[in-house]
Amino acid sequence: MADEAELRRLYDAHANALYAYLLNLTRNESDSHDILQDVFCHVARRHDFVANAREERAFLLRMAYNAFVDSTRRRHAREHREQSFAQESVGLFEQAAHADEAVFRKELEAAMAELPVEQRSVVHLRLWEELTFDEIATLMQIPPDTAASRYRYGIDKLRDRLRHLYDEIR
Amino acid sequence: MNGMNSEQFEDCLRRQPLRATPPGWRRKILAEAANASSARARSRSSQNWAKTLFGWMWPRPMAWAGLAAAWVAIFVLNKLSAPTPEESAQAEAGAAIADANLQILGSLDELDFAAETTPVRPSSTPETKPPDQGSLERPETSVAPQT
Repeated sequence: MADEAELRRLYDAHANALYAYLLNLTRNESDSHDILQDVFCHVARRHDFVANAREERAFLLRMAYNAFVDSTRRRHAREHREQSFAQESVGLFEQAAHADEAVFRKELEAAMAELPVEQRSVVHLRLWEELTFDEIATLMQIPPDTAASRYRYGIDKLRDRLRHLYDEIR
Repeated sequence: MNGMNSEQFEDCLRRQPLRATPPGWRRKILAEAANASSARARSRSSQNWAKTLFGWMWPRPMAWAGLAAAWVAIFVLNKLSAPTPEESAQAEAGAAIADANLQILGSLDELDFAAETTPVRPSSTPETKPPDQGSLERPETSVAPQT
């Protein structure tokens, strides 16, 4: 069981990363909030799990991924609304100062939304969390080769989609 | 690839800053987490109580056997003390007779009360008077004082 100071520390250290990851997976702010809250409630109940984890961030990301998978299964069984994740796209990135950057980020969000969720998860964890393929494989409970190939497929799709914009912001 | 190096492209993506958590969420999520933590603490205290009881009982098979024997004894006594249908019928008949007797006694009491409240004539025969009343009455014939 975690005391409040420890919960605050964990939130301040990891909530932004977890939120961005969940937002990328769900494409929905409300779902991201619910899953993030589930994760922290779980941490509050069983803090010993986090305390014994080697990598706090990787462990919390894994909890977030598992919570997302559970949530998607429940949703799928209940109302087949999983497609709405990609349609209700919300801003994944901070507001851009320049118009070119804003367009690029908007296109990147759209391109990410088109990726299958497994590829999106791997791309996010590799690019923005800088996890290795082994760490990603552990987190998503898949073989490392699968993680690597998903990443490659995902990046190729993003590159094809953003090719026309990339040179402008480079 | 028109100068689109893979590593450069990945670096370009990595440089895009992700959105931060909305500021209002921190307080709400931490409050929910604290509630979850205290709820678990409450449930754990009740679990501890059960665990203590179990821990006390588990290494004492005699205590379990005693508890089981007490339940068996209660069950047997309950079965033995239950009246048979004949006994129930007899008890009901006895209760009906007792009710009837009480009604008869009640009507007798009413008759006695009525008799006591009826006015008694003074010229009634002496044997009908109570002995104490007769002794209080003065004799009608006056006795002359002896000289």
